[in-house]
Amino acid sequence: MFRSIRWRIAVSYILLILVVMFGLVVYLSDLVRKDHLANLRSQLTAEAQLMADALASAPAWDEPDGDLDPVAHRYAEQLSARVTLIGVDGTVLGESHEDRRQMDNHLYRPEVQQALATGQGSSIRFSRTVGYEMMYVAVPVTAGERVMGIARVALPLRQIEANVARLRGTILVAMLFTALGATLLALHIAERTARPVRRLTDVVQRMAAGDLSARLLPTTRDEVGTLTRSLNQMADRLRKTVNTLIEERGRLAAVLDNMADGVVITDSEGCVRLINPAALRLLGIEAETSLDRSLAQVIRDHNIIGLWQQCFEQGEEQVAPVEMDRRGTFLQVIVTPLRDAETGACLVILQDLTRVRQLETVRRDFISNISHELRTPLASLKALVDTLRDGALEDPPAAQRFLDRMEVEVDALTQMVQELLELARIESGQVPLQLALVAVADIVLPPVERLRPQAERAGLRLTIDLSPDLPPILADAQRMQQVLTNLVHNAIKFTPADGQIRVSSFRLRVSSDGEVQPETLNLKPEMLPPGEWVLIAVQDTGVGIPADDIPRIFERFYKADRARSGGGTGLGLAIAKHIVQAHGGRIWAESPSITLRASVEGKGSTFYVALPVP
Amino acid sequence: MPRETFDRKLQILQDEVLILGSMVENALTGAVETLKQRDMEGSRRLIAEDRAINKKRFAIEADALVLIATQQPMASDLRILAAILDIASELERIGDYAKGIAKVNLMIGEQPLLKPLIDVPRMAEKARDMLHRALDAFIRQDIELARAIPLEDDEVDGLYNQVYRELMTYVISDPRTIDQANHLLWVAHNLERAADRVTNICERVVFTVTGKMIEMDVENSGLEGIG
Repeated sequence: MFRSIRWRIAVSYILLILVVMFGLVVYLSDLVRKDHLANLRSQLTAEAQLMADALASAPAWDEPDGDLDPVAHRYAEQLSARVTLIGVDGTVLGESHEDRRQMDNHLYRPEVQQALATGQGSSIRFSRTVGYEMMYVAVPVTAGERVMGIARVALPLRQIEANVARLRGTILVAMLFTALGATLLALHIAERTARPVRRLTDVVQRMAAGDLSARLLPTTRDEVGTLTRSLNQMADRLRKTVNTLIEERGRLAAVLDNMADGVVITDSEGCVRLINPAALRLLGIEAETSLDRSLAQVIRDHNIIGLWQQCFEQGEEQVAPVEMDRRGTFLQVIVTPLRDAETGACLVILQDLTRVRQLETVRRDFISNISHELRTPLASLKALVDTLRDGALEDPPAAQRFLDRMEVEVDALTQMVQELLELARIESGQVPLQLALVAVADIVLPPVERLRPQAERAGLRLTIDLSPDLPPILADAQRMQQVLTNLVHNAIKFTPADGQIRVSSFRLRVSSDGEVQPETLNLKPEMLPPGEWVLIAVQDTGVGIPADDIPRIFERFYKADRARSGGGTGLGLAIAKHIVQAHGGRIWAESPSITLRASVEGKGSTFYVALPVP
Repeated sequence: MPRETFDRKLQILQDEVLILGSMVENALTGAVETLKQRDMEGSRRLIAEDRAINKKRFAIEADALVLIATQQPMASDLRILAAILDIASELERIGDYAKGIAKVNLMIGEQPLLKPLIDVPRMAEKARDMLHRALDAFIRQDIELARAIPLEDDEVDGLYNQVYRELMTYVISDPRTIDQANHLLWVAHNLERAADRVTNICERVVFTVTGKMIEMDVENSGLEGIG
């Protein structure tokens, strides 16, 4: 309690007042007493002098046994005091209140000696004769130059002491009241001083707890007021700074959260201090099992840890591509020491190169495929020309046969080059689609019927199943027929004899939450955006497609089974894909996963083309 | 040395085990992948990299022994250090199996494979997945996980039996395939053994946490019992 300012101020005030009051009481009562005594002394001196003057001519002074008692009694009555008349030799000649014959020699009383020496004397002492304190005043009685005796007047001091005590009591009571008032005042002042400090404390505590909007109106112009204003200013500045920081942090967090590259920050002990969602995604881990764990526990890849260790030891940026084959991702890993922050902290950036690697593979394969595709007919042409030159020209029927074969090869080359050009044109969007509302049957039937003889020659059953409720679609009929021709032609090519090919079409609805109607179709919702679709399926009972190849069969020249794909240019599916995409549609393939076991083989594959209903 | 430093050293050792684990995981699937792709260069590289695995194992062992000798750890700390020693040696052995697979690739050489590899990569993927999670269980001291993983060994055993039967059909129909079939069986066997070693690691994790050594070998059926 006494630690608070309020009580410290109050207590010191009260102590000060009490000390001052006490001193005052002591000083005042002493002063009053002295004053009273001085007054009394001068009054008694004057009275003694009057009496001495009047008695100077009394004859009894010279008598050895003079009796002045009657005179003493008379004066004592007049003066209401004790009067003693003493001879020069110290004998008491007259006494108003006692029996003078019982009294001893008074020559050596201090007031008497003083009076004889200086002409007047006084003394305060306890009178054994009367039994209480008295003031004695003595003056010599002189006749001319001759000292006749001493006249002494005495008064008891009881009266004075009573006066002084009464006065002291009054002062004490006054002092008590004053002290009480002063205490109350001190408490009030202390309270007044401490209250703004307490209110300030409350506000500061609220600020410390995070409420930076807490403010206090300055109520005074004193130091506390200044402090309040300064505090408010500080809070304003603080709030501004904090807001700026929060904003900045929000921006940084948004950047970190939304960037495609993974970011991991480690401290000097290799513990993960920060990890962004992209890094979690790339590493396939959860945030709660990552923070504050060591990098080795979080990343679990010795290549990345190795890079981090190198960076940590050498203090230099390390860059390396890392293949995380457990997740099938290729990462470019950059580890940089964070010099500005705590020493030993490192920034690990994970760039996802999986897609880039895939594109690179596609491009590499494309070049190797196209060289292969060109080389085969060219080699065959070269052989034919060589044979002709070596003498076949001399044999016209043989020469004719060779020329026919050369024509076939040249036609094949021409077709491939044309298809390549067409693909390039479609890809670059240079081929405008002749869009018109057409019935699905107009797209499906002509190519199927055209290929029916070929299917029958290969011993295959070709059936068509079109749902009756098909709406017309907005399409370039000729181009879509090209797609269907390609798909059915592929089906014929990859299905062994006695197989079956089924071309079907039906309506499909994908709701916004990914539900597919009808549900019979085993369709992954991410394949199709929500909406109304017409689905055309070409299903065969052929060799099927290995799961690894399914994502790649729409690439140029990609051939799942080189031995069986035979004569095609390898561009058909790539062209089909681009035509379907130009219509805003989707094309994909499904095949039951193939293993070596013969039982699975022959389940065939299904190609789907989905076109939006206008 | 204060307690904090001991904990830190233990933590670093555990991290080293994880790094070794990652190296072994990559070696295991890498060996099968190079076999599948007939990548001789890759197999030679993997055989060379096995030395790094062995070196790492000895480094871990040496550090663990130094820690035991200088700190005289008690109870669970000691069990963790014992587990580190044990797991490091199990990992090194799995690395040896991977090296064996890479050697098989070189032995088969340029001749084409009897059949495209389907089940063998699955075995490798399964064994790697089990190993990865077994090390998870070790780091998190998760005995539930450590008890669950050995049950998955059946899957690897099943694949092994399948590969065995399949290779037998090739051998029966054409005895000239015996050589390669034998080599491929070796690969499958190595993978099956690798998965068994993962079971050992799991047992060790359970011991580390509970102080009780239990045998978690699920009942062996068929061929893998002879391994």
